[in-house]
Amino acid sequence: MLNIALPKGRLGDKIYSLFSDVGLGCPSMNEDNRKLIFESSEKEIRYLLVKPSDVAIYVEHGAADIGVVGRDILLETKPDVYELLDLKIGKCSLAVAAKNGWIDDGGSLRVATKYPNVAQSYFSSQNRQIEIIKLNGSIELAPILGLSDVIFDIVETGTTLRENDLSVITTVIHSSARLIANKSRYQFKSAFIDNICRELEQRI
Amino acid sequence: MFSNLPAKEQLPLKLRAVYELYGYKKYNMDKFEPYDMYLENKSFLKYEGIITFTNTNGRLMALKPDVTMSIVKNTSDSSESNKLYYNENVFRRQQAGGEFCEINQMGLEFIGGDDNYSEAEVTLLALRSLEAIDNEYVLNIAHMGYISSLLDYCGVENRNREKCLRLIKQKNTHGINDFASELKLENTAKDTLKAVITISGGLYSCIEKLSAFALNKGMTEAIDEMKGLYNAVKEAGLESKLQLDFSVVNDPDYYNGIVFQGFIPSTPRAVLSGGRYDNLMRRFGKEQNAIGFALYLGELDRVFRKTDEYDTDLLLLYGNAGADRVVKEVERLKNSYESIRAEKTLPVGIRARNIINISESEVN
Repeated sequence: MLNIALPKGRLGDKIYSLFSDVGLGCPSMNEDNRKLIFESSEKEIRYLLVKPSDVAIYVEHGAADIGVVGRDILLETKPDVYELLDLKIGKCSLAVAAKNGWIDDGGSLRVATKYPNVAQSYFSSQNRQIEIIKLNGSIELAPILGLSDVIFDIVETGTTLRENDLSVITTVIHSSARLIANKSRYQFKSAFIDNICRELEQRI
Repeated sequence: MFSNLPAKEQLPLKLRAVYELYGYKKYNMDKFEPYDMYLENKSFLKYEGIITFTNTNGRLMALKPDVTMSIVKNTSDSSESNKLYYNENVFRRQQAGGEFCEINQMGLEFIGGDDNYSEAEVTLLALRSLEAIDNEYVLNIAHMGYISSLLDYCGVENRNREKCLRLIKQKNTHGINDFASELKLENTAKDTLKAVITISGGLYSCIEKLSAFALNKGMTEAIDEMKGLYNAVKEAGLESKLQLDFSVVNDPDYYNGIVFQGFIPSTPRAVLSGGRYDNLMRRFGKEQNAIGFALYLGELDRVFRKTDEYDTDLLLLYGNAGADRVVKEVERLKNSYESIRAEKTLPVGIRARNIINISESEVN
């Protein structure tokens, strides 16, 4: 039995349809219910639906054998896992954004972000002193209310930024969904996992 | 002999018996080392965080986070070889950001001696150690000399190697693509790099595949060395458990030559890790070469913590019976049961397979 952790939500649906395209579908997934585990005993797979930022935790601790997670989260949490494949979906970038018309005075920056580690390492590579303001959502509000000078956050289409009178200053890192695997489980299920990778690779 | 002890306590005894059989002597770490020794070699320790205290002279000391460095420091640099093993509690943070804890760690070091034999013996003992833990296991090996010669060949400069090794550890081939275009590596170099790191599996077949990538002297030597190791382990009949896997590469500041990691299915992380660390020896000013490994017994706690169906095989209720009577009964019964727990009255929450009641009132 192979446990696959998928992020809940829109990205998870896309990834699941990719998996079902390569013959790893699980009929009960299509039912509209609130279950979090779906199993296909005939295909020997089990899908776990978890919060996107938790996928890597499930995989690192072996609760799931493989999983799909954004590169942004991998960079932030640095889990000790294999990163086997770039699925090239769920593309977005991590960027620094500020209110339109904001002028950088070169001093210490207050940065609102969900990604304190990536932000810290980016700004220290720029020799810039910053103060991190860790938020968990609606990051765009911070510069509007003067809580921070800039934000460091994911940008997909840029619509949220535009509608809140913000714009990107620098794009720092590009991200997309990655297939990850637990290091120990991979040793004992490598044939199965490698096979899935090969099949998926042909679809992307 | 100790079959009624919990598995967690039997394991160190089993492992010690294996190591003693091969002539290894126990090393006891009964003194503390100065904090700066660990600080200078911080990245040799895989975990952050050291507990410190000041000794009677006011010097800052460390509460042993590691045993290998202490062995390296304290063994005399003679021409004689030293074969040592240890079973110590070390103090470190369980994971980044976690609290400090006391972790039981066993390990083994072969210092000095002939390179080829020490490599074969330590690899074999690593395999035997895993065998003692679980019937199903693998030992993934890689060769640091091969990797550094490969990076030489591909034109990856020293300052970029750390990043490249990190990608190799993740089996991250798409990352290697980005890395290669960032450094403007030639296409042949990029393809070679990707082709090599995706070679993994049974050691014998992988060595065959690697022979196509013996592109300079260093690479050829490393492949020959692994062939020699394979043949040696084959004599012990454990060669099928050896796998080549470059994702086990380790810090080149300390490790050179063979490096390996052992896995069992029931733990999410490696339970064994080691390799040849001549570079660490040089940092301590030692001439000799050395190879060894450590077992992370802490990883096994959860595996061993299988709750027994019963707390005791026999619950002996004695009520008002005198101590002499109870002792007599226990003596009489002790060979017929795995464990006997004598209690005055029926305890709450104790699950017993059998109950015998010898209280006087019952008899009368």
